[in-house]
Amino acid sequence: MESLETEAVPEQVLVLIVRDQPGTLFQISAVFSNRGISMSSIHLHEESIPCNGKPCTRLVIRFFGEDSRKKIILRLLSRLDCVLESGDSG
Amino acid sequence: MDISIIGANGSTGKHIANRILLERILLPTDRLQLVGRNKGSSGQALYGFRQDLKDAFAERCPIIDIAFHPEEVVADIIIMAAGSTIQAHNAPDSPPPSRDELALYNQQIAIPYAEALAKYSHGHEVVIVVTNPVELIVEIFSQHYNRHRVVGMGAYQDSLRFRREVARSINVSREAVHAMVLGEHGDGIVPVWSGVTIQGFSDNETRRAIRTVRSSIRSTDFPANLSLMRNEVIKIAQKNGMAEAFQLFDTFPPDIRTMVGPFLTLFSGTKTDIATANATVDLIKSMLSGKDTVIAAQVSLNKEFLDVKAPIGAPVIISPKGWDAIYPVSLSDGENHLFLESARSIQEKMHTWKV
Repeated sequence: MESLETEAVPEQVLVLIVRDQPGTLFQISAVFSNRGISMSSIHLHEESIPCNGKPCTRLVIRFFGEDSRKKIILRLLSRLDCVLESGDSG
Repeated sequence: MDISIIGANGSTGKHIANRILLERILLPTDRLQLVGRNKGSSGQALYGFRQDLKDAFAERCPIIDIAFHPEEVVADIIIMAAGSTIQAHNAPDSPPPSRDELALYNQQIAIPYAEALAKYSHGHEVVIVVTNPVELIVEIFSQHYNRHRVVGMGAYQDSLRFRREVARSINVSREAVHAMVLGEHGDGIVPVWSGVTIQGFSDNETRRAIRTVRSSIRSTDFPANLSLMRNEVIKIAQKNGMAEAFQLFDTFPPDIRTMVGPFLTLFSGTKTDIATANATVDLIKSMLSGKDTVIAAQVSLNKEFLDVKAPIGAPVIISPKGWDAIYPVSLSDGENHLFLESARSIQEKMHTWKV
């Protein structure tokens, strides 16, 4: 019988500085859900970061996926108006 | 899903954006990226265009993103519609740009986008090429990216025109006619009469119907007939105006009308952007349907069809991943000859354009 065992998919961590406004989390989560990726955790820092006088916050998202997925997800997130900075943890 | 339109400020790009939103291809959480040049009024106008789209489509409008640099292009489907177009040849004092001039100009626009795609892509993007000369731009992208993910619009649009013109001559709907045009998107087109099928017609009835409407019995006579009839209609257009030219056009056989139609449209001073945009969005819908679909499209062949190694209109099976394989069609001897001639001509042009 053909084996269905595969290599473990690595966990990816993204760190975003986002606008603290209605709809931000919805737009970001859509980038993941539209591509069939499930976020394993979302951590929203309670302390607000001022960015050009507007309230912003730091968002840490973890998900399981290949490095190439992380690369494209980061590029897609960086095109959203609500995402001011995007990067990975390493 | 995200779609990027390179050349969104051009008339074809704008029509494509409009049709994508009108057909609700993108969800409100998807993204439409409008890519333009950040120079002069053109770049600024893109912001106004975005606002106009938002006003028009309000609640069901996707996220609309504006980008000005090739490295900013990121999407699942990338539509290459940037570049100059073949101008209407109705000003006798100013000659239109030659195909070579057009090629050199559009080549310089396409190369940075192809290079950026090679550098930043994740390998799953599909590029749909609208810019002319479509064979040249397909080849540029295919040299930088997976050629199976680069599809040119030319033969697809020519096939839609051919089907419509055949349907008109036989007096059936376009949906009832299955037909293809292969070869070059230009004078080197190859109308595949041997593959025409008409819904509800037996093979014998189809053969008889085709015999009465096609321009010549032998496919090899097609280029000469095309040249003759096009010159004739130009003379009438110059002498008696467009109304009479279109009256004459209506009497032409369907294969000739397929080529002369867009030419006459340009000659009248207007553009073929609406038909091009509709065909582009049609192709996207076919790709996204999830079904394997057979179409004619410009792809960079590597001897998969008639041993041709060139970017050319060929019968391909498309899917959301681009073109998977060649669909095996058998051509008549005349069509075979025309296709190989067309391929030879494209190879010469590629050599001239140093691709």
